[in-house]
Amino acid sequence: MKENKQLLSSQEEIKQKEFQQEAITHIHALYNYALHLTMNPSDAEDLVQETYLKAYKFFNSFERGTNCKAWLFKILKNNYINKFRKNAREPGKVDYDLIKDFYHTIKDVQSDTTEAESDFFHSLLHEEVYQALQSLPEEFREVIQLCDIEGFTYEEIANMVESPIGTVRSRLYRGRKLLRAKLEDYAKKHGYDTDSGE
Amino acid sequence: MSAAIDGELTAKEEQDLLTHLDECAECRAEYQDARNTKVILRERIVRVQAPQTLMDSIINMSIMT
Repeated sequence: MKENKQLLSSQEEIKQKEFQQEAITHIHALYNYALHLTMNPSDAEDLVQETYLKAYKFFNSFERGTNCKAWLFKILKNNYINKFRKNAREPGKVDYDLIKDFYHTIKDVQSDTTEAESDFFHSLLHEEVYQALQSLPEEFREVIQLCDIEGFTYEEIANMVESPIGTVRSRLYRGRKLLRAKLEDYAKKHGYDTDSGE
Repeated sequence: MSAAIDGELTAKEEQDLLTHLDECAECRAEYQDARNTKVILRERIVRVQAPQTLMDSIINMSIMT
């Protein structure tokens, strides 16, 4: 009996170690994703917390060798849908005041961190980009975010959004086209115009 | 076009695209615009650190569970 208990605790210890190495390292990416989904730091914290609780509980079902970050993002997204679907914003409706408030909140959060000072003036420039991204229809915004900001592959994104790779591809194409139109002035103003493409 | 920017083309597809871009100014401009959009997002979107309290509570959760 005692041996069993010891065996169990050493197995649990291995699981804890692996979980910390594989899963907890992605906490900043998950928190950022949660922030963008909820637009509220306290909801984002809850969402990340619940995601890790669930992930730990089902860690045995995580397929070793696959991308743990993608697995965690999918759990977080499902949690978000279950929890916030009721309050999800209507498609096509963009609350610019909410985006602006949220943006300033995260900027303030950032200024508590050590990197803040040098990034502060950059942050002021970011707002326009952030608003442009947030104003896209959700199906486009989501794939762009997962691809360009989080760096997931098409296959991982397809799995997360439960759509075929072809759909991901076409959403990326159409979403980027919309975004490009919105960011045209920004790109010119900040030296991202076509001529300086290299 | 998007797939090219994301490194999701096969070698053959990529070669075909590059050949086409050499010949077609319109597609070349679109390709560069699309690539710029990706670069803007990567460089300009604010990333924040998860709060220390959240990190602590998750580490504790995995130890205590």
